[in-house]
Amino acid sequence: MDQKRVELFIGPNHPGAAGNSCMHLWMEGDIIKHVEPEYGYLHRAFEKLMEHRNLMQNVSIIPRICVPEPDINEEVYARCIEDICSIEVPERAKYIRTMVLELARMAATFLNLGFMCGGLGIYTVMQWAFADRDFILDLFEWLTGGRVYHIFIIPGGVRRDLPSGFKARVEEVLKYIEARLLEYDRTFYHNSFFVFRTKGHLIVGEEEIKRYCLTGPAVRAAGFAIDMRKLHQYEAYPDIDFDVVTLKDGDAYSRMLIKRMEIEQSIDIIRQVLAKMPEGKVLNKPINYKKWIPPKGESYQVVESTNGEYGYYMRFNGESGNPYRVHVRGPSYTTGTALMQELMKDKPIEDMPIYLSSFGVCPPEIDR
Amino acid sequence: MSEKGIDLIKWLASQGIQAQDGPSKGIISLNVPREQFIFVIQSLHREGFDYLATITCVDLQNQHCELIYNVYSFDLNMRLFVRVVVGYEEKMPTVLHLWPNARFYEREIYEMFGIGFTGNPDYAKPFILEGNDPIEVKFPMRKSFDSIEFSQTNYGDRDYGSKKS
Amino acid sequence: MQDNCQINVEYAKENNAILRSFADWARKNSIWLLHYCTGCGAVELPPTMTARFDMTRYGFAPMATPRQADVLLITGYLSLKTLKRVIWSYELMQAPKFVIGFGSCTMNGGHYWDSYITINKLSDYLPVDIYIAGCMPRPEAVLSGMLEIKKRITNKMAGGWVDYEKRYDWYKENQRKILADV
Repeated sequence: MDQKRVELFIGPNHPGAAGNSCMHLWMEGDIIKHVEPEYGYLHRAFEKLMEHRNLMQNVSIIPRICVPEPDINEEVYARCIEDICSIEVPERAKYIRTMVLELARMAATFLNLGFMCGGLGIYTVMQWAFADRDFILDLFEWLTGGRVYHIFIIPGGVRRDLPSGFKARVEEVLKYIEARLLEYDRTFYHNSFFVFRTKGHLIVGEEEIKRYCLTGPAVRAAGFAIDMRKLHQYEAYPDIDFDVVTLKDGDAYSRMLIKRMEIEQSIDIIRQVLAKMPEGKVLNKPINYKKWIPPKGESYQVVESTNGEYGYYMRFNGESGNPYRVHVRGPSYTTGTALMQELMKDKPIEDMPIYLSSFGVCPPEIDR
Repeated sequence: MSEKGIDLIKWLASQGIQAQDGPSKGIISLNVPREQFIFVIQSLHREGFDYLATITCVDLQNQHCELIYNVYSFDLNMRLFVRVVVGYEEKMPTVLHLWPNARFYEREIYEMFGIGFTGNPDYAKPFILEGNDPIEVKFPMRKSFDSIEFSQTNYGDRDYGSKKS
Repeated sequence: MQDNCQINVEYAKENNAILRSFADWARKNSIWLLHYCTGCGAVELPPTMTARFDMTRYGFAPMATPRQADVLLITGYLSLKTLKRVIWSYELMQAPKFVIGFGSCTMNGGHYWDSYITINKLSDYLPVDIYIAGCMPRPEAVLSGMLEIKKRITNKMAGGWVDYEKRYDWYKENQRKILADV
């Protein structure tokens, strides 16, 4: 290594870093010359744990794989098992699942906004974001019983029906959030300090998207209309009318703006879901859960999370109720490792928290 | 499936690679022997399958592992599983020149299952486990590694007097 | 580290009771937490710190470095890599210092009891003053745990750091069984 290079660490304990991960930086003055990300601080060996528990016991530990947005784990797990065992999900359950996924998307976007403001030093908006996220968590608590980890979507449907008065309360919360978005625009998205820090920084173009296999807001901010909800028509999305949001520039400012525009899109989707929801039962319970042995088979299912494509691979060998192998694929596996080494070369160190928040790097997904 | 997809499957069959339907609907599996793997994956990359979702490894318990390369094409909206069976002691060729992400996928597979990759210079660098502690965790995702017994011996027995366990 | 603790304990015994009570009163009303989010329980910490459940009205504040902190908050499970860094941070903090164990993973392993990489019992490696039960604990539970620590400081019952100094060899033997470089 060069004599005038200095080695620095960001993390594992750092107020500006996301989660618990360590970035080794080699710097010349203010400019980063080489990044080596180090993960493994949050490793729990989920894939090994899931082989010791049977189908239904796994449902209680899988939300903990992706901490900001736990519902996508339950959704993809349930779809894998329904695919292998050929279980039909009732129509009403599909609409309830869609509503839960969109509410989780809004809560995760507010969390991401809060951490981005914490990293930049705009503490007013950080307090607003965490307080507004609590309205959505109160809705979850009424519906499922838990604020953060819900254990609500199980193979065969959802656990219980909507309580009476729930639809009216959801409509109140959506109206409140719509009114608040104007305040966020004035204070944050048009804030000249935020625009100066993010506009024109960390641009991702077509070549990087193809080489590093990106999905999610990074791709939509560069002008490509790729959304897993349109490509793999799952749950109630075929009946919902919505457009894929795109922008042109591909920089950090456009990525944050795409996430903000998707909050409005989520509000519109939830209103359509509540209006079109059919009546009926919500759970197709197949047989006794404790003695359930699925047939031999595999499946790979995908969902659109806040940061990109989120997938589960499952395999059963037909002899026991425990899965033979489960593999989790998160979107941070591409943005947190190889893309960081390429994009952060010759950039000043103050771009690091902007990188981590605008791409949504989530270390629990990488470590599992 | 589109016309171009059917042509692709026929061309691969003419080279000796049989395709089978499954696992889920919309996914086709190709069983490829290790010697022809690089040829197949480079041809697929040229034909539009340039999105690598992940590399999954499954332990088959007879000293062999199955590697599944999960590739997808946006133009054809089609997903392919390229499956290769490889022994514990054999080494696989790397796909680092096609996808730079594979550097980290292959590091994790070596750390968990013990399969080496030729052409990837740092496949043996520790990625998730630190590796210099007095209790050694070696290739933990193989079925022969018993994690319950490991945890009870090293981190304390969790049986607080209950008679059932 | 052993010498540091010895001096502190003897100082506290020698000086008179009024000075010691004043020091405890000042200490319990301005507790600074080391903001180290070690596990998945850390996602309920920002709501506790911000406007809805506001913990700064009790005097708590997050702090970035171990040298300036009084309380080490272990939020959830600990993998081996993180445990090494937590022990280094704990030994860098200056006495008197307290440890709060968050969630059921610090008590008996919790959900991850059969994992090869997470520890089962935190009190074998570090002295714990208070446990907060839950998976994960609600912000109201976190606040009540913090008020409990304040009560214990007043009643002079929070003595984890004195115990670490007395049984240093026992703790070190447990730590060195599973970790290098500690």
